[in-house]
Amino acid sequence: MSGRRVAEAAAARGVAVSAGADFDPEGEDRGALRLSVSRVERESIERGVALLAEAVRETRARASVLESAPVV
Amino acid sequence: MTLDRASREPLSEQLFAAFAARIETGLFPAGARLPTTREVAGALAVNRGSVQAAYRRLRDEGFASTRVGSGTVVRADARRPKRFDASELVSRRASAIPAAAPPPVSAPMIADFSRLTPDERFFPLERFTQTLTEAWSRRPELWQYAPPLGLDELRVEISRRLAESGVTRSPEEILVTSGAQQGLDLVFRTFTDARDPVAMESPSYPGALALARFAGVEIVPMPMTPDGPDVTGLRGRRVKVVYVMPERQNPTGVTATEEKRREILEAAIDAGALVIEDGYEEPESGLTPLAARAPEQVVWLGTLSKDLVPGFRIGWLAAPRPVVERLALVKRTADFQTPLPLQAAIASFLRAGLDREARRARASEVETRRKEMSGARGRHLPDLSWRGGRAARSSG
Repeated sequence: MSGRRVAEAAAARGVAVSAGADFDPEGEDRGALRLSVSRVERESIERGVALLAEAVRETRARASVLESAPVV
Repeated sequence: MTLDRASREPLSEQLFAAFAARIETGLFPAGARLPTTREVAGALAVNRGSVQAAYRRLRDEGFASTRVGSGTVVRADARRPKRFDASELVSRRASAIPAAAPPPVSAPMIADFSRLTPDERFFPLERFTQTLTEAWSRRPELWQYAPPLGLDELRVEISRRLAESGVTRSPEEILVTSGAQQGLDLVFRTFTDARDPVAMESPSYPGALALARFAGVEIVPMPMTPDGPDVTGLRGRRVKVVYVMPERQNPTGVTATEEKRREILEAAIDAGALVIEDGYEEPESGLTPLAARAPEQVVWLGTLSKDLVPGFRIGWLAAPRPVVERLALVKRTADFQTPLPLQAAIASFLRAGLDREARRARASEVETRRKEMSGARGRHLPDLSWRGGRAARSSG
């Protein structure tokens, strides 16, 4: 699964996360995200992660339609 | 304006191109009056007919217009067929720097999990302000050029701090930099040429990756494992620099184990590489830093950006004296010095222990957020795997 697509889908829902690709020496789109709690409001963590989960599900669904293959 | 008389391009064409470029770039703005054809012909020692031909073409192509009495004037709607485009001149090095990340948030911000900087609500602002004022008031020497390594009083404080982490460095072995980012930039500029091999953890800190790409070095990846970086890729080859974050690696949050620390150093020694140990946060694990194990081989990079005030851009590096002096020369070339009043302020912050106070003030809140985060992940994203402490990472 593309970490970058998840980060974009999350951004569209008002949730900022860093995509694994930003940390990859080759810029490869890793299936990874970095989540930091150093700036997030305590009260918005639950909602933020729920929206992130939505972004993950949306990305997965779209990826499986586009690629019609199971994604890791 | 220079003309090439040896060129096969007619002088009138050259004159036209020179005027058109000046209008396109805005050097000759709308409404500006061009010199008379007689003036141009005289100044450049060319036939007046060539200048008249050039001006005719400027009019024909919409760059200028001529009115009796006011001469030739740049049109307000001057055509800009091929506007000057600076992006065509961008160097390959600069093009290698990726665009800013993460993706912009288009909806109202609900939760920002993207930043790894201290929350300013926990800055002890009153004490900061007081310390700041004391640090730089009535000290005209702080408005002058600095000693090459940075302000003595700050290097003394840094030396003390390092000793507490087990790293023995005298103030003469410390160079104050504009953030740890400049420290790493100086190391790349001083110790690498384009295509030199540099080993980095994979994944690694984007700021370091950007610098490596800008320097044009070959990145030798050291894949992160739950114990720290895998250094097998270094075996049997020469490498110039090994860049690692043994303490809470960014982004994985992994702290390199005792064995891993030894492996990193042995691999670096065999590869003949200088090791950069990025201590972007003060060590918490109690494990001995690399810089304390192999002092001749390791450059320590320090900063208060993650614990105190990122906006101050004060960092430091600690290394053997010949290394520090070499880096100091490059630093002087880059920007002469890091602002002295800020160095004085940070020296006072450190002396008063304000960084630790700020950290303590944050600690329980951060711990609460971490627990909240871990619960939320379990509820909403149970099928992803998660790692790390402050910087958690998922894969799946």
